[in-house]
Amino acid sequence: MEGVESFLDILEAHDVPGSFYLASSEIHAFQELMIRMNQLGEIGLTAENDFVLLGQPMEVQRDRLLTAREQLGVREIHGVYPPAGFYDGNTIRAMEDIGATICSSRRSQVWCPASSIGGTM
Amino acid sequence: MPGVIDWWDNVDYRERLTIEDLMPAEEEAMPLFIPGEELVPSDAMSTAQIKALPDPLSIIPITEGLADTFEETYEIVQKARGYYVLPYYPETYASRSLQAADFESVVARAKREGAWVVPVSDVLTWWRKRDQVRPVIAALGRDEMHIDLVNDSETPLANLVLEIRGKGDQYQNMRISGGEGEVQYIQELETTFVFLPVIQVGVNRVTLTWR
Repeated sequence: MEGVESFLDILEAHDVPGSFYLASSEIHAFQELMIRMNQLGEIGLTAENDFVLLGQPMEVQRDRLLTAREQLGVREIHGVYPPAGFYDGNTIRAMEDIGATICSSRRSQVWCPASSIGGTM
Repeated sequence: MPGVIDWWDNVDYRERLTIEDLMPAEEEAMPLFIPGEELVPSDAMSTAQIKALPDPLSIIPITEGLADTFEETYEIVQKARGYYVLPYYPETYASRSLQAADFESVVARAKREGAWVVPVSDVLTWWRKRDQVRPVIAALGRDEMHIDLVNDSETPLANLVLEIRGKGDQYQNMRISGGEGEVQYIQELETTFVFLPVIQVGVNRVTLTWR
């Protein structure tokens, strides 16, 4: 977590906020880091680990997102940054199923109005 | 606690109908008539012509990999006057790596140069508000322009900035003669900025003159 802490130090030193997208199984054991991130900006949802959602059945993707939500202690899901930014139609369907309507994509970084929005820090 | 995100009240990207979608097709606007100025190009545009106009507030997407470093990408975005989503992976970049130094340099520079640095949710809120205002040139005269800013949202919007790009005396001498706001021309950008304090719900008429 050294890289994460020094990264947060940079943001803090320059008074710059961030949007943090976390693999829940990795981060949920570090409550202090999560609280610090929340104070520095906002926390979004990725999945429970770094394996891509792309190519998996909709039900699997949905369950992974729900697992991540539970591990992060998130009550509502608004935006999802799929691991590595890869997603497909099932990701969008899974997001709709759980009530999230923003998909962040690192690959395209093109902002679309309905369901595919680019953004990460 | 993590995950309690309050911005969703302001952000909703599901498609939804607007009042305009439910209204019958617009009729052609009345042409602007200025007594004694018969030669004024005052033909009103049809709805189809207005919709065919390029979006003056269009966003230029900058794809990842455009430049080798964060700072180079920042410079490209800055020149394009666009937005920059800076993806940073702290678990990948060591704290004393070149990438970390590059990142810190960009962050410091962005702050120093007054860039709007915010979390994604703030951008989404802005995006949605921006998407709910449509500038329509209602009438254009030789030394006067009437712009209707249509606010399709359900609440007034504050601090809207209208950008009118062009060079020449017409743009440099532009000032507001109807409606509230201030005008500033930035030579380097060849752009006239119209700062509007409040845009009420519905149609807001702003008249600019350069006579």
